[in-house]
Formats: sequence, structure tokens, C-alpha cells
Amino acid sequence: MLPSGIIFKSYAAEEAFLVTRPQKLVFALFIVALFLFPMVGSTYLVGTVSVMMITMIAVLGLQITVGMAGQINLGQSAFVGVGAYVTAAMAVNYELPFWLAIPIGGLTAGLTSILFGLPAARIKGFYLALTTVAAQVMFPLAISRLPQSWFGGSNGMSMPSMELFGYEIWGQTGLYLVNLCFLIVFTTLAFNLQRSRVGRAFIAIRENDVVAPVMGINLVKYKILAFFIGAVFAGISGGLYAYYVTYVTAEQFTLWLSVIYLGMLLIGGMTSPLGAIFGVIIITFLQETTHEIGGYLSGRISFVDESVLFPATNILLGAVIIAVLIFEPHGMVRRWRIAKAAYRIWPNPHG
Amino acid sequence: MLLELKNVEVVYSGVVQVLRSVNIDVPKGSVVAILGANGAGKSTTLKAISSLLEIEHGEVSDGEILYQGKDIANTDPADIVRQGIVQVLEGRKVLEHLTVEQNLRLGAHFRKDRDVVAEDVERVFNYFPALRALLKRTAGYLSGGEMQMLLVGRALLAKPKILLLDEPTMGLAPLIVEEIVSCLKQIHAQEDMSMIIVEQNANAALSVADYAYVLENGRIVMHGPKEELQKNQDIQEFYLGLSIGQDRKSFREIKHYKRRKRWLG
Amino acid sequence: MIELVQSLSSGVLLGLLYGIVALSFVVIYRASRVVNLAQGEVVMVGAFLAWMAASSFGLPLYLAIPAALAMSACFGVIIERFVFRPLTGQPIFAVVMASIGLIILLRGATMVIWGPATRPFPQVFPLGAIEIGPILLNTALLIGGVITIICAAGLNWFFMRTDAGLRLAAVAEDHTTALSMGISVKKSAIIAWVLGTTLATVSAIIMLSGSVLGVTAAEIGFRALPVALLGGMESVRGAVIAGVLVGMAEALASTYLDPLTNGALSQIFPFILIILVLLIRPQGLFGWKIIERI
Repeated sequence: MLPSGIIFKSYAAEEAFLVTRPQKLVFALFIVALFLFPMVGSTYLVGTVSVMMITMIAVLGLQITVGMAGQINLGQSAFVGVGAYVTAAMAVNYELPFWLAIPIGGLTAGLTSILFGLPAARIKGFYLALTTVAAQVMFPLAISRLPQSWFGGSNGMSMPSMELFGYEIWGQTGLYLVNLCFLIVFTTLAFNLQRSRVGRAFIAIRENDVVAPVMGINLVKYKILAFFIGAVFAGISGGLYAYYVTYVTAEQFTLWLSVIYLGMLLIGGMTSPLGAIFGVIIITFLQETTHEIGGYLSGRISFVDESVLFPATNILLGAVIIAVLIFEPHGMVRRWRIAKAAYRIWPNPHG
Repeated sequence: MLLELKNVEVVYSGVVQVLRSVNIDVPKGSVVAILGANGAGKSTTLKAISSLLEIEHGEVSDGEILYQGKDIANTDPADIVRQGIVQVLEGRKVLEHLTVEQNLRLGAHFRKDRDVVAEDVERVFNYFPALRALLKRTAGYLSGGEMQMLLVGRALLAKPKILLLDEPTMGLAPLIVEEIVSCLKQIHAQEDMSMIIVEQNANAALSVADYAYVLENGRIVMHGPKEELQKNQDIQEFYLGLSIGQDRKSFREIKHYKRRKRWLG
Repeated sequence: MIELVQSLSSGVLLGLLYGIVALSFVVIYRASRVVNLAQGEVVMVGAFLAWMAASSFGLPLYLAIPAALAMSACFGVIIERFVFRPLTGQPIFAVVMASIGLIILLRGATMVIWGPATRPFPQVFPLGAIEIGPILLNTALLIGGVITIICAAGLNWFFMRTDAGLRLAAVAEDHTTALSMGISVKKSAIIAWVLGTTLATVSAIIMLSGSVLGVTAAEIGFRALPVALLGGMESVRGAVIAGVLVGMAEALASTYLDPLTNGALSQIFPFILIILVLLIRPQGLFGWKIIERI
């Protein structure tokens, strides 16, 4: 839905995300506002947004594997973990700077995922999800059993701080800016992947993996590629997370977290990278709000305390996921589009 | 009248109207054919009778489907089968992972009269002798013709008063089509039942049927006894591939034919 | 030699436990095409229901167990009615995702209703071990194994020989076809879920008898899912045979390979084995081969 009077003269123009000048302007202002946000936000808020951005990169990757290519991945947090540990090892053992350590972490996570994507050569559909569960089970075992000098064994690893041109990046603001830069790069990649040859192949596989090979799509190659790209995103997210929390342990990357990632993607909407971003925002907002409300109630109602609060959030989260699947299977992205269209044709009714 | 469709309208997802005021009568013991192009609403008509629209988010939004004088529109499909309206779906939907035997047995799954079922199974084997040898085979690996025989046999075991057949000859070789058609004739002659046959292959359908309806764009545009329709020039051209002059007309010419335009209007 | 036999026989018993949980996956899948990833959580809820019947209500065991089974049957009906029935006709993908939502929901609900603390589970089967020559067999698991085999035989007969069971198979194949034959899809789904949740509760009782109950009980789900996949999601006997195979592989790995790898392999080994088998037979050992037509 675009303002009237716009005529496309080329396919490229039609595929562009930003068409009109006001759109470009608003978008540029939005990016600038994101960079300026730490100046106005409280430290707690900036930290929360930082974590959100790190999560977004992982969920964007999941969107590629699950949403775009239709391969269920129940092990995304294991790949996040691989990224975090490899980044930590690079930074601690080899004293590499963060801008090298994090991409190496991302690539390693991607390569690890190929190992688990290989069965795609024979195994189809849901059975493939099993290998990602295997990845999730194997990850903590591998970390704790590999030599202590590699990944610190079961003790975990302590991270140095980020340094750029000899200056230390410190505090929530510094980390926020680094995370934002990474998020911008990877969001751009995700959006562009969708309209590339690879993205179209993924979508064809998602829609029908019996017909896709008949159209000349190499099923095995593209399935493995879908896992690879998704896992690279996860690895990058893991590297950033390692620097953010300054200490990595295997317990941070559980099956539970993978499940939550999928939940975020579902609520946001699987078919667009925008869904990943929406999902993370919505769920983080939900969690923070129930936390606030719970904190308010805990002094006043006897049975409400910490032990009830966290699970109560999960009841809400699970119910929201199921409700979204039943009532709006395309996620909040579709609601967003409807809202946009309604705004543009206002005051005419939308329907 | 055994089955009567009165002004039936069908709407999918609350917006797409597929049938508009369709009237069809099926007298007891008759065979009725429904002809029409792809997307005319033939399968939808059958699904409306069997109440199978719900799963595709459709419903009978107006009109009545009277079976033995009772309105059965939008009722439980399980009840409809038990009352004697049994449909053979298009696309040869055998239960492909079950054996032929299990498929046949499921046809009679709700019947209590076990000993009669055994006799009925024998009757099915008389119509389709090929099935007897295939009893233990997995149904998904049968050939197209065998599957269609299995499906008709399975439907017969539900003791239908009306058998609904949705494109029983689709994608089958001409010889097999003949075989199926002659079997259907035989079944109609020997069993006490009516049939509705939906077909693209008008020749095959008209050779079994004694009355036919033509559906276009969700409306009945023509109906009459088979002899009358077979003589009709429009039917000859559009469905039987015959033409008035010496030269046969190509599909493209027929498609833009003026008379056809009048129908659609 | 004795070590080998001992390790194999404990493996078989453990495998039969996996087998009965895998059976509950299979039963639900066969009739509703739902791969319920939340099956571990269903086992956990079943365990808490049994604990509630025995400890909170203070019922004697011979009443508590039927009560728990009845409650879990109702629980199955509720899940079917409010989560999966509204999703009928949606792609399998959406259904799997709903089961992920169910994981989160059920864990949260369990923690709110019963609290996060662990508690002793009533002792249903005698403690200790039975000695057969030099071999020791865990009594609870042994009785559980017998129950698994009885359940599997019963279910196999039900699915293959009875009209009701065949009806479930028809629904599993295709909803429209089943409806056109006069089979009620809703009724079949309810039967499937009731069977699935009661079986899950039975397996919870076998697993936890005389042991400690907490939310970690749900972990059995993701240990048994591979077993169900290995056996083939449609196959009742496949679930049991695959369970025994995986149990033995795990026991052998933990006896002979773990000392060399610092205790890591026994947990990973079943997965490796299963992936290898699936590479050769993608539909599992006894599953339905997908007959694909374009």
C-alpha cells in the first residue's frame, strides 16, 4: 500500500523498501534517533534495549531458517552459545579485537550448523528438527568435556572489554552503540536476503519441498545454506552477548531459550524479518511489564512473589503464542501492514 | 424425490460465492450427471451435499438440501454418511498407508450387521474381481484404475442410497475409463441406489446418466434428459467435442463463442 | 561378561521407559498428525496430577492412580479442545509451533499451581532390585517394562484390528477423506489425546515411583522424541523396539565409552545412532513411507 501517484519504472524500483522522500526522511530520522537514544534513556533502559538488539540478531537468523526456508530449528540458542564461546576463546586465548572475534564466532557457529544440516541430504520435514535438538543437547556436554584451556570447561569464561583504536568501549552506552551497528548491518542483510535469488529459493522450499527441486533448486544445498545463514546470525548474537554479560557459561544457552526465540518469531510473524524485530520487542515489553506489575503487587498480595512472577509471565507468553497461531497466524507483521494501509487510505474505511 | 437441492448458495471464507441458486433433483433410482468446466462449482455441489465444506472454510449460506424430505445442509458429515449419502472424492483419495482390506473394512466401519458386510464384500469382488488378489497390498501403491475401483467398492460397503462420484475417470486411460463406466452401469442396474456423477468427460458421464445438469460459474445453465442434451448443439460443441459443420473447432474459438457469452451473462 | 549382560539388561529396562513415553507421542500423532513437542510437559503435568491425588487429596494408591488417570484424560480433552482443534486445517508447521507455545504455557502453569520446589513422589512400585543370578534389575522399571509391553500390545491390537483404531488411522491420513467416509475427525482427535495424556501419566508413574518430582520431569520428552522418530511416528511396535535399542545403546555407551570420554558420550550416542538410522530410513524403522506425488 503506497501513496497514490507512484509509478515504478523498473523491477529494482518496485522492490525498494523506501520509495517516497518522506519515507526516506522518516527512516533516516529513526536511525539517528536510535543512535541518540542513550543520551536520554536511563542506564537500565539502555541496557534492556541492548539485550533486545542482541536477541533480535539471533531471532532474525531464526527467521531465515524457520520463516523463510521453513526448516524447524530447535537449537538456535546452541548456535548462539557456540558464537559466544568461540568469540570468548578468540578474545581471551588469542587476544583478538572484538571486530575480529565476533565474526569468527559467527562463522564458527555457521560451520557447526552445517554439521547438523548435513542429514538434510536424506531426512525431510520434521525429522530434520531432531538434529537441531541434538545440537542443543550436545552443546553443553561438548563445552564441559573439551580441554579446559579451550573454553574453560564447566567454569565458563570471563571476557575482556571491547577495544577500538586503543580506546576501551565501556559502559552501557558504548555497548549499546556497538550492538546497534551490528544490528543495522544484520537487519539490512536479512531484509535483502529475502528478495535475492537465495531468498526466493528458500521461500520455494518452504512452500513445497517436493516441487522446489523440480524447479531446479538444489534442495540439500539450500537447506544447509538456510541453517548456515541462520546460525551465523546466531553466532554474531552470541559474540555480542558474551561481551555484554562479560562472563559466559554453558547454562546460558538452553533448549528453553531456543523455544523462547521461536515464540518471539511466531508472535512477530515468521514471514518477514520485521516479524523477528516485532516479536523481540513485544515479548521483552511483556516480560518487563509483568515484572513491573508483579513488583508492585508483591508487597500487597500475599501469594505473589518472585517464585510466581516468572512462571506467570510464561503462562501469558504461551497463551499469547497459541492465541496468535489461532487468530492471526501471520503474526503481528500482518496487523502492522493492515494498520499502515488503514492509515494511508484514511478517512476512507479499510476493509 | 430422494434428494433435492433448492436454491443452494455456497460461500467460502465468508466472501467467495461459488454456487448461486443451484436447483438439482435426484429421483429415486436415477443417475444424474453434473457437467461443467473447471471451477464451475461441480465438486462444491457434491461437497455441499456431503457437508464437507466446513474443513475448507465454506458453508451453505442459503437454500435447502432436502434428503428424503429433511434439510441436511451444514449438518454433521458423519450423520450424512450413515443416512446413506456416500461420496467418492476426486483425486483418488485412498488411505494410502493402509491395506486394501483395511480400506474396504473402513468403508463399513459404522455398520453393526457384520455378516451382511461379509456378503457385501463378496458383491464388491464380483464387480471388481481385480481387488480380490490385491487384498493385502498397501493401497498407496495401486495403479490409478485399481484405486478408483477400491474407492467405489469402499463406498458401496457403506450401503449408500445415493452414491456421489466426483470425477471417477480423471486421469485414467481410455480403456480403464470404459471399464469403470461399464462397472458403474452394472452397479446401477443391480443395486437399489441413485448416483450423481460429476465429470469432465461428458461422454462417459452421459453414457451412464439418464438426466444431466450443466453448471457454469456456479449456476445451472441447462438441464434435461440425456437424449435431449446429447442432441443439443451447445453441449455437443462445448463438452462432446463435436461440431455443427465439418471442421472441428479449436478450444480457443469455442471459448469465445458468442452463445457461451450469453450463458455467462 | 556379567558387566555386559548387566548393562544391556538395565539398558533394556530404561529403553522400555523411553518406549512408553514414545508411545504417547505416537498415539497422538497417529490420529491427529500433531507432533506434540510439549509431550514432556504433558508427562510432567501427569506426574503432578498423580502426586496431587496421592499426597494432597490423601487418597490411597489404588484410588489415587485411577483418579490421576481420569484427571489426565480430562487434561487431554482440554488441550485438544482449546489448543489443537482451533488449528484444524492449518499447516503442520503451525501445529508444531502451537506445541511450542504449549511447552511454555504448561511449565509456567505447573510452577504457579504447584510451585517450583521438588517433592517426594509416592512409591507405587516396590523399591530395590530383583536378583536374577548375578544380574540386578530395578523392580520399578521391570514392572514398568511389563506395563509398557502390555500397553503396546493393546494399542497395536486397537489400531490394527478394531474399527475404532482404523478410524483413527483414516483421520491421520487425510481429514477430508475421513469425513467423506463418515468418520468424525473431532471424536478421533479427542480419543487420541485422551490416550496420549493417560499414557503419559502412566509413564510418569513408572518413571518417578518412589523418586523425586520436580519440573525437570519434563526433560523425558526430548529424550523420548528421538525414540519415537526412530521407531517411526506411526508405529506402535516401532516405539517400543526403538526404545529398547536406544536404551541398550545408551547403557553400552555409558559402560564402555564414558570412562574414555569423561562421561559425555552416553547422552550424545543415542542421537548419533538415531541420525545415522534416519539417514538410511528417513521414515524411521517402522514408520509410514511418504508416498510423494507432485
